Amino acid sequence: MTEQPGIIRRPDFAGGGITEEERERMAAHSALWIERAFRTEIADPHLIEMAIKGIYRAANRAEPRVVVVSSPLVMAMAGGIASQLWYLFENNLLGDKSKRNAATRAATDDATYEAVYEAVYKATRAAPDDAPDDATRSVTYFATKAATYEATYKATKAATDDAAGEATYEATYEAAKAATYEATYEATRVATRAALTNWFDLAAEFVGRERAQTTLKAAAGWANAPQGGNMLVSGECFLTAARDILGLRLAPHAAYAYWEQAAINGGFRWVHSKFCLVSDFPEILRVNSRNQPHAEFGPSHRWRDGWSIWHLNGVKVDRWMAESHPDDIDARLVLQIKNVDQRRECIRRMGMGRIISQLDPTVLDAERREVGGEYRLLAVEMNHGEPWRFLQMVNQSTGAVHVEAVPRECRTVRQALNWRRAQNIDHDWFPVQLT
Amino acid sequence: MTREQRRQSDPNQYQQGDVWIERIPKIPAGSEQVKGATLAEGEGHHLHRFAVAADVELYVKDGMRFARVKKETTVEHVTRDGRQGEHDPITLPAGDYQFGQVIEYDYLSEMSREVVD
Repeated sequence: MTEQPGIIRRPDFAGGGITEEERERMAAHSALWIERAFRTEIADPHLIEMAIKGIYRAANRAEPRVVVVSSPLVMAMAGGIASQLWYLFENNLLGDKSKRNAATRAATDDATYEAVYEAVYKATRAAPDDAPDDATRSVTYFATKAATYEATYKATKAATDDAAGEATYEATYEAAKAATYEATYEATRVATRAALTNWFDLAAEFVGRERAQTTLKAAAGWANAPQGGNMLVSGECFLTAARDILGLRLAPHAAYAYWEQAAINGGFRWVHSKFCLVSDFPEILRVNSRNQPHAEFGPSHRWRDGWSIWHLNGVKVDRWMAESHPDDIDARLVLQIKNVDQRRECIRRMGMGRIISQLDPTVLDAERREVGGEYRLLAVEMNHGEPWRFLQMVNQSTGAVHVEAVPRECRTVRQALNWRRAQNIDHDWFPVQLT
Repeated sequence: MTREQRRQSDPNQYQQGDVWIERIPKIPAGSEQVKGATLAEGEGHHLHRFAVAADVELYVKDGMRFARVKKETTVEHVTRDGRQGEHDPITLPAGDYQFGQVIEYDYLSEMSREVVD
C-alpha cells in the first residue's frame, strides 16, 4: 500500500485519485497505445495466431483456424463467404466434397478480389467431415469477448473508485479513434454493402447463385459486431493503465492478456467458431494535426492489397477530391457535390481564390450580420443557361467557408437566407443563436 | 460593398448548422409523439440532438417536426459516440418549437433539397 495520503493502491483496489507521477505515466501510456493504433508495418502472423487461439481457449472454445488477411474489406467479404460455407457444410447442404471444391479461381487482376478468394480458401479448406458445431458467429463473438475483455473491464471498474484510469481512455479515444476505428469501420461498412452487387459472382462460385445474396448480406452484417483489434484501442489503454500504472492484479487479467496481444498485433477481426480472420495493418495511415484521417494527393489509408480510402480533415471523400491538384479541380463540379462536408473540404482545398478565379462570379449582394457574420450572394455562369446563384457563408464555429445554391428568385442575401430556411423569400430569418 | 444588417435577431429563432429551430406558441393538436431526441442525422458521423433526452418530447404532424422542451436544454452536434462535432452547442429555453433542416436548390433537377452534412 502506498504511503501517500488518500491514495489507496492494492492489487485488488485503486482509489483516491491519481498522483502526478501516475498522471505522467498515463500520458506516456496513452501515447504508446496511439502509436499501436497507427501501426503500418506488416502484421506478424505468429503473434496473431498465439493471441487469437488464447482468446478462444479462454472462452472454452476450440482453437480456430487463424488467417491473417490483407485488409478489413477482405476480412468482411471472406468472413461472410466462409461462414456461409461452414454453415452449409455443417448442415449437410453443400453437396459432396468434390462439388464443394469445385470453385475455380476467378481470373482477375484485382488484388482485393484475389485476397478474398485466398482467405475463404484458407478458412474453409480441409473442413472436418464430422462434429458439426452449432455455434454461430455471434455466439463465438460474444463468448470470446466476454471471457477476456468484458470480464476484465467489469473487474477493473469494480476495483477503482474514481475515473483515474479513464483519463487514458478519453485521451486515446480522442486521439486515435477518428483515424482508425471510425474511418475503417465506415469505409468497410460502405464497401461491403456495395459488394452486395459487385461481388455476387465470387460468392456464387463458393456457395451457388441461389445463396450468394444471403452470403454477401452476411459479409455486410459484419458491421453489426466488429472486434476492432488495434483499430479500437481506447478500452485496452484504460484496462492496461489500471493494471500497469495503478497496480491492479485481477483474476481476469490472465485471459485478457490474449485479447491485449490481439489488439497490439492485428486489426479488425471476423470471429467464427471455426476460423478467425484478422486484418493486417494498413501500409499507409495519414492524419492531420488533430489526428483526423487526412491526406492530399493520395489515400488516407491504404492496405497492402491496394484497398484504399480517402479523407480530407476527417471527411470521407472520393479519390478525385483528395488526389487532384487544386489547380485541376473544376470549381463548377465542386459546387455540385451534394454532401456539404465534402463540398466544404473541396472548397477548402481549392481556396476561395481559385474558386473565384475560375468562376468569376458576380457578387449580387453582400451583408454582414451580428449573428451569422459575412454573407455574399453570388451569380455564377455554369454553362447551363442563366447563371446559377449561390449563397456564400462562414461556419460560425469553425470559420470554414460554405457555398450553397439558392434559386434565381433570391435577389438579396436576406431573401436567400429566408428561402434557405422556409422556401419563402419573405419569411424573415434572423436567428438569435447560430453556430 | 457589404451592407451591415442592423436588424435585431429574433429571440424565437435558432440555428445549428443545417438545422433550424423556431419557437411556436403551441405544438398543433393531433401531433403524434415519437421516440428519440435527435433533430437531424447526416450521412457522415454527426448528428444534431438534444443533450438530455428527458428534457424533451418530439412530435410529428403532416411531415412537420416539433419539440416540447420541458426545461432549458442544449442542442449538441456530436459524433455517434458523443464527441463534439463542428457546430457549437446552442441553448433553448423551455417551450414548444418546430424544427427542420435548411434547404438548398438543385439546379440540375430544378428542385430544392435538404442540406446533407
